[in-house]
Amino acid sequence: MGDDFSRREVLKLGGTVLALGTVGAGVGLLRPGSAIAATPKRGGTLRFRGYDPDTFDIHMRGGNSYKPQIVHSFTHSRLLKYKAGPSVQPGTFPIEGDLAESWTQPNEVTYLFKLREGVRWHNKPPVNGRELTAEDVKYTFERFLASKENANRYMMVDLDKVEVLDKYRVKFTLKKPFAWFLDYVATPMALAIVAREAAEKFGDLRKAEAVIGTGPWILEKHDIKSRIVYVRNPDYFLSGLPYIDRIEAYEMEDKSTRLAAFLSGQLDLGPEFVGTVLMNTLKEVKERRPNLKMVEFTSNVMTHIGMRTDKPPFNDVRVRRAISLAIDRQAILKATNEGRGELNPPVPAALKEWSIPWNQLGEGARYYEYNPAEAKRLLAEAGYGKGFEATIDFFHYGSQELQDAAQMIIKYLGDVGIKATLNQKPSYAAYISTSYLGKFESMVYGPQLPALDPDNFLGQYHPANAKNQSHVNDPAVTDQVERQRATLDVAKRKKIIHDLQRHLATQQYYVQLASGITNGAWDPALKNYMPNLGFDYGGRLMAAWWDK
Amino acid sequence: MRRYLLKRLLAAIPSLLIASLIVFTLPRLIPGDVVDLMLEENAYAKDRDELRAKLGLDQPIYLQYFVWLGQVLRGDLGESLWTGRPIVQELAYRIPVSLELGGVAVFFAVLMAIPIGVLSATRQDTVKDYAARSAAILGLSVPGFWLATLVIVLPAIWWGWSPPIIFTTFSTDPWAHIAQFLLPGFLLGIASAAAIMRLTRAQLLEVLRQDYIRTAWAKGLRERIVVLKHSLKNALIPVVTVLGIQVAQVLSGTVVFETIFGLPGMGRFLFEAISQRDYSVVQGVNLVVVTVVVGINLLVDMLYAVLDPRIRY
Repeated sequence: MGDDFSRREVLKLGGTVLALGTVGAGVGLLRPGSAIAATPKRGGTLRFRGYDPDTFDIHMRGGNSYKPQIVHSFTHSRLLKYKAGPSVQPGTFPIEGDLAESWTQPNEVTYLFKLREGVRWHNKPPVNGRELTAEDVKYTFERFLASKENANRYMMVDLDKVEVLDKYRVKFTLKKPFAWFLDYVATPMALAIVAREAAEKFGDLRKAEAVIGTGPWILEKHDIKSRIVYVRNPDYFLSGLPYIDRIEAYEMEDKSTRLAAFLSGQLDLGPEFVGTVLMNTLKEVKERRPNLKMVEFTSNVMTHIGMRTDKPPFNDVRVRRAISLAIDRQAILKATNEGRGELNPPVPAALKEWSIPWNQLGEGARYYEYNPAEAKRLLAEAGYGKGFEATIDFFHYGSQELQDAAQMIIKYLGDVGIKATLNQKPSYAAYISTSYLGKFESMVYGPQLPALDPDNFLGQYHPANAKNQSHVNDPAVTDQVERQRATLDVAKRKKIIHDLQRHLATQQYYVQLASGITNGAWDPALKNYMPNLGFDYGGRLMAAWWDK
Repeated sequence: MRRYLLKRLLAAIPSLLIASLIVFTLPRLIPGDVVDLMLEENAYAKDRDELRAKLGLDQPIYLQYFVWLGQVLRGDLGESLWTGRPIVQELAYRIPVSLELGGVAVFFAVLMAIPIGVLSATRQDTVKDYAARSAAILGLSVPGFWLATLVIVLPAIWWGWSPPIIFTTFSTDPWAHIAQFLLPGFLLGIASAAAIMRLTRAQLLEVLRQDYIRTAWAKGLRERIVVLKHSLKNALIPVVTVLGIQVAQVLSGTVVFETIFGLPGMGRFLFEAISQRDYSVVQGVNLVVVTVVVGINLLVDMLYAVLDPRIRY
């Protein structure tokens, strides 16, 4: 693997960090820098491929939601956050305090957070560096729930009220026990704490001027569809951090442009999402920049085949199993991702703490194997010996790999007698507003939201969930989906989720396919950095430094 | 001339009104709904209706059209449904980028096409002529996006170098700002150059066969005078007409080059707006493009009089 970190090395490094007991004292921050015995260096400019969001309002976002999330990962803080740094294995998301110094859960539906004192907002009008208080937290959560355009509102749907106990203490009361509450508070996808004055002055937080947070960097400049420049926040509440003075994020939509920029040294960091360094360009990148650091891990972008399980022929489990058996997942992986990736059970393999390897799915594991003869037998048994006709709704997302996979699926289905035709949607908008929401005739194929928690993926099996594409209405499954949400004990929740995955593997309401290996690449001058899934780019760079 | 201009300007009004109706209606016929897209996959049905009302999309389409037209007449193109930024403000940032790119493309197109066209016509059926015509066919056939991708990627793979692909504003670095348009402008100009070159050649050949040119030759005038002074000027009238059309084509071709070379221009703005069903932006940009094209064609008509004093309006 050359200069790359292998998973084993990452784990070993993580072990060293823990053994040295370097969990940051006082600030609750893991400072992996000390673990790798190097002296952090202040200064430098880091350049990477970023995105210019349509809206900077993380609570009022629509499609392409990851774009404001990435911006906020630099400029804003959350109550809690996911740990970052070389000690964290990609695909895992341990929680630690961000604005919250500590937190307790006195009962199943109550959470108390104690905030850090002396946290200051960015020194920009209209907030002008005033101190953050519990009122800001209350305001943020209420705004998050009140915003009609907030597509992530479902995350806090069980939140009953937020109360300010004093300047630095805030109490959350839920309507019912919700096991993923802390994860959703910590996720970089949603609850960045925002300032009331900014929202009131600008009417909303859509414009770049309104990006005022308490995060490690301050948004200094926004050139439309060109670049966003962040500069170090000198008043950041973790003394001495961040180390990097300036970060420039360039908008680069074309993958050839990104590759050229990376090869010619115009980019220092290739974050994993949407692959600045794609697997099929790895050879060129390694040849041109041999000292590049690289970590590879399984993507949480999972594709599946959804079906109208509420009507024939897909309401027959034998038909669904036959479809699963007809698909050669390994061959698709080979054709589209250099043969590198993992088969996904209902919770994607990338989420290591919650997913179980497909070959441990018990009885359902056999439906992950490629067995067209058995598929034909099952179809005949279900009364479809001569096959049937079907349509597959599809949108290409600009991905050649996805289109190739769709063509292979058509071919595999044809091999067992299912004459499927591709119903190619003319645009992302057309796809997302119809097929993605379950409005299709027989089948749909495409990627799912790359969430960092299993709840999001399991929600697709709940009849009340808008993402229930396959129209699943299985009382046993509904019950288990709800039970895992209500089970606070992690071990018990894990067991429910594992059992649920085993059951779902036998039912094949969705035929889950493989996820490819993705990679994060960075210039060796960037120290104390480790990529991970999700859009917390700023969080992962906060304790990194630029040694050039 | 003034009367003609006035007539043309008056004639432009119904053209622009019809165009406004088309640019308003067509985006709404594209499948997919901006509200669903905004709320992505986790929307609540009730919220959809509320958002639709907030964006004014719950009104009958004819009412939306008249409200929009009223705004346009007051110089207000509305706001982007997504960014909330005024479209006029966004266009003020992006139009110069597209115009610079288009301008450089037309400059290179003319720079390449006219001399090669003249050379090709005056050396008809020679190796030079065949070579120029073959190059023109190649220029017309090669897809711009492919050429641009090669120019970006290959030097990066071979030498670790690439042309500028990170946009620099004029105020930051004037030379870097101009330099970043040269390569995309040149590439964008190739297709237009090929078309203009072929037309220049054909027109010049026709003029060169006219009696008055034969007279000029008979008088013993030098080739340079005959071709450049007496022939080319007359051959250029249809070329200028085509140049006007080419400007519109160049503007519509900017989207690919803006995307590949990281230029935040109008083409990309329109492309993104279409894919996001940002109706107000699509309407606004298209209206501006239509107005620019109408304006350029008016300019072309006026140029005729300069090129040929016999033309009277």
